[in-house]
Amino acid sequence: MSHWHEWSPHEQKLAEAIYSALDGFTNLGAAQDPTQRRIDFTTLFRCVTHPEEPFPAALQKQLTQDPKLREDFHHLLKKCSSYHIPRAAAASSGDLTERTVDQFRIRLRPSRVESDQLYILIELPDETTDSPSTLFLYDTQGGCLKQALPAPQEREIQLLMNVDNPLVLGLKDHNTEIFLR
Amino acid sequence: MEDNIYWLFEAQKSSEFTNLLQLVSETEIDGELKFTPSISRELGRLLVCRAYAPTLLELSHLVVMAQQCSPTQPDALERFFWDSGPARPNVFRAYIEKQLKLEALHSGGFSLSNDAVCIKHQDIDFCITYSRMPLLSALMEFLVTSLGYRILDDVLQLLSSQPLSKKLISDTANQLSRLLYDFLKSHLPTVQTQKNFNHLIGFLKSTYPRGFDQNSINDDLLLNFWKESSDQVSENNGDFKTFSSVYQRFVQLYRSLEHVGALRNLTFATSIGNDRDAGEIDPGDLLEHVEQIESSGDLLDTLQSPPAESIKFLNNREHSRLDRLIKSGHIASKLPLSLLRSEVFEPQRTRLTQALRDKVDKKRITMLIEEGPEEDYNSRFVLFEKDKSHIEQVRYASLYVLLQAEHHSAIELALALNPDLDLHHLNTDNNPAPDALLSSFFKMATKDSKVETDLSKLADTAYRAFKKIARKGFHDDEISQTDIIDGFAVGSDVLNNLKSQIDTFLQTASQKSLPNGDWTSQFSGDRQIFAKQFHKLYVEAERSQTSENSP
Repeated sequence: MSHWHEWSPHEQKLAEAIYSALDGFTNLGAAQDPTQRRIDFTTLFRCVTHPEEPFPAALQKQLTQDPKLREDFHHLLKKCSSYHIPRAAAASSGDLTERTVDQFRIRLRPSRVESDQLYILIELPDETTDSPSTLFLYDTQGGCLKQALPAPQEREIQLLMNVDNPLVLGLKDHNTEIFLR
Repeated sequence: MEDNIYWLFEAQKSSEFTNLLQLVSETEIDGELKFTPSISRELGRLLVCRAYAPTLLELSHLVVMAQQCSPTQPDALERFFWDSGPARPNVFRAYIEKQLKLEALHSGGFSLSNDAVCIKHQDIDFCITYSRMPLLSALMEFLVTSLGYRILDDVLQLLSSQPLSKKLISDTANQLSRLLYDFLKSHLPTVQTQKNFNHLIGFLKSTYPRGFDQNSINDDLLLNFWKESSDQVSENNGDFKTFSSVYQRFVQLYRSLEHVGALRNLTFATSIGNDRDAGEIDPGDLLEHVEQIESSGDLLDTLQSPPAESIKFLNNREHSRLDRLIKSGHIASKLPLSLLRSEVFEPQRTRLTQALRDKVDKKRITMLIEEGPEEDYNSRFVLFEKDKSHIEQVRYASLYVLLQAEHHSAIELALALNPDLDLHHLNTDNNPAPDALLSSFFKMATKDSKVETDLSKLADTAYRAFKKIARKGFHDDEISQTDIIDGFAVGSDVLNNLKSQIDTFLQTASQKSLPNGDWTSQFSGDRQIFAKQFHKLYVEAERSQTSENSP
């Protein structure tokens, strides 16, 4: 059996390289603290594309803390969404009651029956064949709301909500973007 | 203050790379792990050896295929990799067959077979087997996790936005390779690992000034190293703070020294290459070396991968208890005392660090130290014996399933269970054909045989063992399914190896010459050593750190 000091520099280097490689994934399998775990992309994708999937609180938190995750999430929303309403023009003042882009508009209409409630009305363009199933509201700080949408009736989707619902407040906010999928 | 005493709580700071790899390996989809443990390990090897370039080229071809699965959908690629289900060959095959439209097949030059998808288009002529797709998917998962989705998508979109050619695919793969290289350069803890390696070698040199090899690594050396190095946290990133991490790293060192030493013995030259060749190690070569070394440690991973994963051979507790022993391979028998020290004292260490995180007072910490571990070496041996008995029972139960299915693996398993098995009854002709022998074997290997032979008795034992197990895969209505039978065939081979390893370890341990005489006395002695070291690491060190931070 040969001893270490008899080995050539290349052999010693090979031993070091093998040791380093083995060390590289040596802790695979050790459980991570679940509260510190990053959201994996599979969860992110499912959250965006499956209406029934909840929006994890961990994702909400990480979006506000991680600029890279925010960029990725925003890119994914854009790619996977059928419709996108960008942030309102800076010139607009006061709360918004209507958000419009070429194809359709989203209106907020007070309820005649309950003064603390209003309707969110999403009017689909005539040529639309696929009705969106999910609405995402996204702000510049990474805050995001996900809302499953019911089936439309006569080209209009209706949601009845309290006036202080975060979705309502977000729709009124100039700094939010809307994605419909 | 919490940042300053972070090192007190954590055994070592995991690198960003390890965290990302862990994230990939823990990703779940549809309630199960997206990637099998063996695929995650294969990905890890590929990345740490930096041998990913050929695999990135394969992945780029798979991206082209994935985009064709739903060519009108902007998120076709994402659906393929992140919405097709767990990364298994049969899942990919089913997805592709379902999604790929005939029109795309003919116009895009795609063809499907039982094993692979092929593209033949312009100057492209490439096939990817379904069995390869899980690893490619894992690599994609790592890319999106490390580089970011935005950056990755910008690169991959080129494949759908320009006319397809061999050069375009190759350029895309090269671009991914550059991005991955840059990422790994700054995220693989190469410098720290090198320092640690040098530290280990330095310790061996000072302990054995006349020279050393892997056999110089023994239980005494490990304990001395730990006592000396465990509190040098800032120098070694906390990588040697716990005894179990010291054990792990010495096992790695043992493996690498043993492997290179064996290569030396194989080549008749005095060295591998020559001094002029003392440049970088070729990534492909390094991967080959690592794969050879790792193959023995993959036994438990095999049980958690298809087809064996559909059968509950071991539950989580059994798996966890055997993990270190099996992953150590034959080295466990070289360092039995160190393995037991890791097994028995590590849970106590974990409780201590948890208590520190919970800001428990010093008096309580000292009490936890004085209490010692919850088990001793003898009780751990009892548990290993219990695991061995369970494995034995499962082997017999597996034999029953394979006999019922008349699977050829039954013969090997029968002989492994009873090497002295009398098979002379099988040979009724002077020159029997193999098929006839097989047929005769299965005919005789039934518990209800009219003639009692070794085989029939073995079959009866197998049947009784099967009936006693109520785990997944061990029910009558499951064992006729093809994937279950395949699982038993693969699993039985693994179980043979597991039993052999455990047997060797227990035998070696029982014959081990211990510093304190017997295992009971050894545990008493080690308890005092570990208590003293824990006190140094978790009470005295914290006390001095706290006084440093006081105004």
